[in-house]
Amino acid sequence: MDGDDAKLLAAYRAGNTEALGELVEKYKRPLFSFILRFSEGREDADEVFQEVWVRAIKHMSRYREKNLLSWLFRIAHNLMIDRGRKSRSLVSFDTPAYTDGVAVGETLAAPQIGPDSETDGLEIGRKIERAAALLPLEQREVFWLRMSADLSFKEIAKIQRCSINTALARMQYAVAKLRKELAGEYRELLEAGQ
Amino acid sequence: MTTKRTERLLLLEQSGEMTARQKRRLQRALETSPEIRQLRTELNFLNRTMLDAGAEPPEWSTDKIINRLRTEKDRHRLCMPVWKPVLAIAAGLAVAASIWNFTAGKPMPALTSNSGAETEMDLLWDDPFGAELAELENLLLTISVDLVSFTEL
Repeated sequence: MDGDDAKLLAAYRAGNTEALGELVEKYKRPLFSFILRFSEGREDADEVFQEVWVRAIKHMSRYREKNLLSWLFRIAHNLMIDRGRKSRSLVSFDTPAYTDGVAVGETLAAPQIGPDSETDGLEIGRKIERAAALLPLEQREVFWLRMSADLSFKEIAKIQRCSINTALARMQYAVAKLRKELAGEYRELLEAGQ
Repeated sequence: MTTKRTERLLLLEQSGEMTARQKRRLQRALETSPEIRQLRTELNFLNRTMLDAGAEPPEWSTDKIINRLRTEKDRHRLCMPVWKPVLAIAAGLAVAASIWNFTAGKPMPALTSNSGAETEMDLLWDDPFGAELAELENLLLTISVDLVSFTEL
């Protein structure tokens, strides 16, 4: 674990609640963004976000990983699987529902971050968000964990309980689809972004 | 090397998970293929753009988390002193009751018998095969006395 994170956790255990506040502050952006991309809106995402932290602190004795953020993502992933199983309206990560032979995740767009917020008003970011929302769930998850949360493929593989090669393949498919989806605008986007 | 394999190398390069050998392979591919160079630029652009993107939870989220944890901690603390002694007392009572039941249910032989004398239990005991054994003894005696008349029978 990051030395600072360990200190903050120890301080929280000793009764300093501000230490936990600091930890939440440190990781809130990547974690909340990820949850929001896979939930039914901000309220729902906020609920999951809180639950992730409560579970993480309650089960801190089981924590064995080097990266706290990666562990938080793992809890979030498992929590969303549980919610997906309980609620038919949400799509599970591990067992995709099928309608007419097509996985729901293949066609269901995630309620992604709203157009007037979050991506610092960048049109480029919004276009990528929209295109990524059309990706199948597992590919979408790898894409966001890699691109937005900056997790390694080793960490992503652990979260998705798959091999590194599978995580890499999912990312390859995601990138290929995004390139295809954004083909017309890609050059323009690149130029604007540079 | 196929483009697919080089794409994987580019992804690994970006995540910082490449070995020295893979780095050399990628370097060679980058030197020879403009397509790979283009893909690398695109991937880096995507990564830069998406790292900046993101949403934040409502401001009150942190307070809610701290409050929830505090409530659960208090509840846990409240429950602990109650159930532990109750469980210990119940276990103690159960052990005491089973000992009492064991000693009171069966009279101990040492308490009811005198040394060298027949115990009360011995006196009360009735041999169920006594009568049959006596009958068998009589029969054997008859056979031994008058074997000839017995065989004629």
